[in-house]
Amino acid sequence: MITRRLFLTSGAALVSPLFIPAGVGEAATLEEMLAVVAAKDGGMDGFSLHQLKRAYLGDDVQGPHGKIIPLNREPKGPERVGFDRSVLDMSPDAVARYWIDRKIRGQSAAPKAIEPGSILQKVVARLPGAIGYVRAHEVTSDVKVLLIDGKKPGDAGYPILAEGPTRAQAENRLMVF
Amino acid sequence: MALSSSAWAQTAPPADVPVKPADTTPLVPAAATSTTAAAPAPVAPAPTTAAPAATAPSAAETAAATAAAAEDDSAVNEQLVADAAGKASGDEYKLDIYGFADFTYTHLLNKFYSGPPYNSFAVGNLNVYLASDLGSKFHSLAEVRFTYLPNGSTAFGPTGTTTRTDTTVGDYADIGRPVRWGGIVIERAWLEYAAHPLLNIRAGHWLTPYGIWNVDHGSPTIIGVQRPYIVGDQLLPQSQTGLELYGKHDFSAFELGYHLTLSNGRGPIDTYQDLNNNKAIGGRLFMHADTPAGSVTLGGSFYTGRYTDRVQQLVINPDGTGAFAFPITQDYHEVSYAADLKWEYAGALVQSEFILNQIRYNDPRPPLLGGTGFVPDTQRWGVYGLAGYRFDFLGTMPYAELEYYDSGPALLGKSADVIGGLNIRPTGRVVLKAQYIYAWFPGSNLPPDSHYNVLNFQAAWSF
Repeated sequence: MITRRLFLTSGAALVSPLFIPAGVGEAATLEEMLAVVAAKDGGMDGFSLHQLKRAYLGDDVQGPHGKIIPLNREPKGPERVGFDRSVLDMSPDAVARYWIDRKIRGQSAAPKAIEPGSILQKVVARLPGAIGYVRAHEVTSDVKVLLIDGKKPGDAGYPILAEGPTRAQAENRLMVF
Repeated sequence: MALSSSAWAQTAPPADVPVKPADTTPLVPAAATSTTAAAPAPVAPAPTTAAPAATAPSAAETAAATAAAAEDDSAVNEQLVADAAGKASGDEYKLDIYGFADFTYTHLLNKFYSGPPYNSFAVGNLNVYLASDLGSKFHSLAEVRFTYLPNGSTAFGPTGTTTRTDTTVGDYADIGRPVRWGGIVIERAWLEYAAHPLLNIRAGHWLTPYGIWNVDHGSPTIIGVQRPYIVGDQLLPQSQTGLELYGKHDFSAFELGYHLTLSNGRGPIDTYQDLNNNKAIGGRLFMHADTPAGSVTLGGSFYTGRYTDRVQQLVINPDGTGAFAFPITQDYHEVSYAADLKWEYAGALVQSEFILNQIRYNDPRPPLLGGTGFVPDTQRWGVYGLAGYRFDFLGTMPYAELEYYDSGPALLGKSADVIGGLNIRPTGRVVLKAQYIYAWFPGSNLPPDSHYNVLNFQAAWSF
């Protein structure tokens, strides 16, 4: 899916993925970026990354139609892994632990997962308050793209990437070493 | 918190994000949309687009296929959207059944003054949850623990010997052969109404919202084999029956939340009968912040209530009529305070809780066990600190814990322990633990040089 090599602007990128904000120091393509989408008539325009994180961690984030309903992608798929790293700052294993622990505590369950992205967009389009994410080049006219921290896919510093920094970092390592 | 309106409101995707025409693929629900599992469930890939036809269909075939697809789309759409919304279609709502269990091996490294000096295997918890979103902002949760108890539980008699409960009965389904029945513990059962992020109303039997480990509660979520002694000793009640209000607000830089509780308080039968008219109140305030230096949660809790035990007596009045009286056999007022701190950064975890409980007895005071006189007013307090780091390799977390507990004038007196262990989580659902505990008892009424020296191994899993 990566169509061209990424380039480094900081040696820190080789040290720890924790300090690599997705989209910083790399030129990602729309294919690599994840667009957060909602129904066109849902009244939502955008989120802060913080709000998005809270919604996808099970917190009650309110929108025009009440509680936001976050929808996920399949576990361990490149979109899900990238989204979890970019937004939640969690690995797939950490995400699994997080939701199991929440349910044992009696708290809310994980967002529903829907595949593929085209079906996800159909559901989002018909469910007021629902949000989901797809690769930016796969966005259909069913939905509208939400701004994240005022940025849209393609903007410099857009923070949400499929498979995120991990794959980029792996490629960078290959290039450097 | 309502989403803020923005100056960059839009009605269409950003201009430079290319948009594909709407997909006409019939909607097919992915398996995960109907899962009841605790974790994000695997998803059966649904078809993305129809495979290209080997030959171009005729106009009639295309029209028929389109009509059929539209019909399928309409039929499945409702179910899929309802699944995504978290409820089944129509008036039916899903019941989510899941739970956890644990299995522990205890290896004593010395003989402690109490308890049999033998190493044992044990299934400790088998807890089943029944959860359901009832629609219209109502949610329900019940948790039941299945246990081998009361079989084998012991009680001290007046002569110092113990009596063991034996639940062996003849099994009518097996020609009367002996079977030992166990019991159930209703850990919690509540109905909740989510009126607003700032106001959720919970009614029923719930875990007392204080600290870290009383809410974590289940063995897969607890890092060590057991909770810290001070948490298990219930300086605040582990659970209560009544009403709980809670909510939180996100200030972006940090989150501020509260819990308020009104309950029967503690008592011998507090889950269904209060033996005084003094309802217990409690609360918790907490702050959570995600900072560049990690995630920090800071909380403070309190609880105040009155414990009363009574007996029921038939009293014959002078005129010969009868009436029931309910004289008090034990009565005390208690106040508890707790504070907790949790810091997480990458795989690192540091957490600590401080708990204090004060009891002031009213007459009649209970007599001292094995001595003369009566139980004095009591203050108990304790503190623990735990630090660990979870590595990616098999989700392994080495941890260490220190604890101090002053149980007041009770037999145990003052105690301290140090714990070191490994918490290994090869999958999200399975936790393997090994830990070493060394406890000592400075200033206690135990025999001199008493200490508790034990190895624990545990497998805990959720299902």
